[in-house]
Amino acid sequence: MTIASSVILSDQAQRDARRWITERHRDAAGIDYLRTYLADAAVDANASLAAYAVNLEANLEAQEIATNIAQVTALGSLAVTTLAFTTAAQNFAALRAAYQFATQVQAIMIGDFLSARTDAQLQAAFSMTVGQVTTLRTSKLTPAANAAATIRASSGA
Amino acid sequence: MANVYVRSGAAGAGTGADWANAYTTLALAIAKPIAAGDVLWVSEDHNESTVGSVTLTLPGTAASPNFIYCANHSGTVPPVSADLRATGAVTVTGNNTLTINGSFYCEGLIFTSGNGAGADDLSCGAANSAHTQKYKNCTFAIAGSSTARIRIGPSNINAATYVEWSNCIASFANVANGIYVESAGFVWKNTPLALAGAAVPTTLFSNGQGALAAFIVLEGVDLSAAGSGKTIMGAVTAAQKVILKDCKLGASVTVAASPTSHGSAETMIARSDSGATNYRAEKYSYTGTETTETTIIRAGGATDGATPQSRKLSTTANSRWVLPFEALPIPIWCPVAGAPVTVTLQATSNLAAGAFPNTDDIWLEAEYLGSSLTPQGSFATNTKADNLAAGAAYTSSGVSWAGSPAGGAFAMSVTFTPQQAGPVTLYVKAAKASTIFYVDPRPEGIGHVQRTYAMGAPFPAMVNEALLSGGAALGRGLH
Repeated sequence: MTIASSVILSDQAQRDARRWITERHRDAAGIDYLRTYLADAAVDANASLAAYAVNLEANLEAQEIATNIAQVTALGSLAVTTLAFTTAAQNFAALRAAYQFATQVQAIMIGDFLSARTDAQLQAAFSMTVGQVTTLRTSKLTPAANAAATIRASSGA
Repeated sequence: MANVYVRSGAAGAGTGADWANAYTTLALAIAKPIAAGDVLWVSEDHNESTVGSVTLTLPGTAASPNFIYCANHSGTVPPVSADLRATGAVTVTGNNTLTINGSFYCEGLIFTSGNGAGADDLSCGAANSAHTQKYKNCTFAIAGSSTARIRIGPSNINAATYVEWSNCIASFANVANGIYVESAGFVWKNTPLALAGAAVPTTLFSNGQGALAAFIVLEGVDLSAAGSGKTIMGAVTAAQKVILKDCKLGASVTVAASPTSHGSAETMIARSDSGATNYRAEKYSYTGTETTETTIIRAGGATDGATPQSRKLSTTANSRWVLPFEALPIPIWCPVAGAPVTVTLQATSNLAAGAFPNTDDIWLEAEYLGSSLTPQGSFATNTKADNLAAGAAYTSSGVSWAGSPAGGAFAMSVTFTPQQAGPVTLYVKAAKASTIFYVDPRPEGIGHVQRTYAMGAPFPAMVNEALLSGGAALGRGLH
């Protein structure tokens, strides 16, 4: 999903020649993101609008990835993730990065999440062969899924 | 309370007993082990550098903190005030993090996290417990990649952490760097040129994966390096309250991105600007934005003596009667007790030419002292009684506004009977979605704008104070 439209709703000069500018950025789902700022008199409002749309999209991507990773590291296979602004590949890449600094429980939950993916998804995510995926499941993911189940059982979840 | 000395250039016995026998790293000194309340003296030429992640966990508590001072090793022993310096350096290199846990006061150190390609974060209070940390004259530097952040507070657990920076600099290497504040109160104050380094983050404040609540206050901080194209407060998903008070802003900076939900970030600024103005008071929330307007103003309305102004309330599509946009409070003083009084605020809008909103589109609410026995607030409002009732249309107030607003001028009035003379807080609430209202913040009817009093709002003291200052920009000094 991307920012589908960006418009300047108002550009109102103030006594000191600066301008209150309000922009509306609308994503493909119809959700609006407003931006209001006090611009210097010489600011190119249209250029600023376009630049902010790029930044906003990047922020929305980052927020979605951050939320997804938080879900995965906390809930494992029970995580509810979204791919509204990002691709699965982006999220898998972030998951790899998160794994490097994960706590023990977080690492287990990442393994549990991956264990619930299909072989095809794992192959695509990590550029693996079928055999490599089988080995990954046996050596890492299935034990992690079992450990996650034990953790959930022990916590009552 | 022991004195422990740290100097990277020391070549003695490494006991920490004096400068000659100082520990060569902070980690070694902490592992001595030191106790809560102990004082760590770090030499002014200390320059430790570690290839590997470093976690400094001090044993201090909020009740008995440790003290870390950077001091001239050629001065008095133990050092005195004149010996204090701000040049000691604790650096991590490579793809590594630097984490500082525990409760302590730290003065004069430069902390730098790894310069690798990973998430080489620099964290103040990351462990899963409460931390109380105050830093003065310190620098926090991110030297690494786009994924590195300065992190304040634990990112994966709710803990009552408090971190204060006084005259502390944040330094960044990449525009994608930033400051994550989570599960913490963070106060940054009294800092000229607060942002340094090779890059200024595109978004200065955000929250990390934990998306935990935070409370952020910036007071007297120069953020002018973050100018056009930069955003101070990002679109966080966590419940965060942000106050900027008496700060220097960058020209054309965006103060806050569009909040994502009712419970997410709410940002307020008081007397903060890039130029020589002291009247900006703003609020950015999920339901709307309030700014200081200087062209669409009521003739003969509020002014700070130099600049006539009104409050511009811009609601979003998320504003509705049950959860409206609530403007910054306007504190006034009511000298009347035991008799009915009427307070009026004049307003206009961007509705169609000559059109008037209804009393459920925008209204006035007054919190007053309605009991002679307690200070419990009573409320009077001119909106409809409940969500199932219908609002009434405002009519023309006959007041003229400069700047050619589209909508007609109208007045919002409430009548109530205070039982004690004292403060009254006026709240304007706007529910009509995607609409702009202009409100003259100079109340008519009773008393005068009060200059000082403590609001009894259910906010922490700092918010209270900042809100009061926001109120100051609205009311104090306005005639």
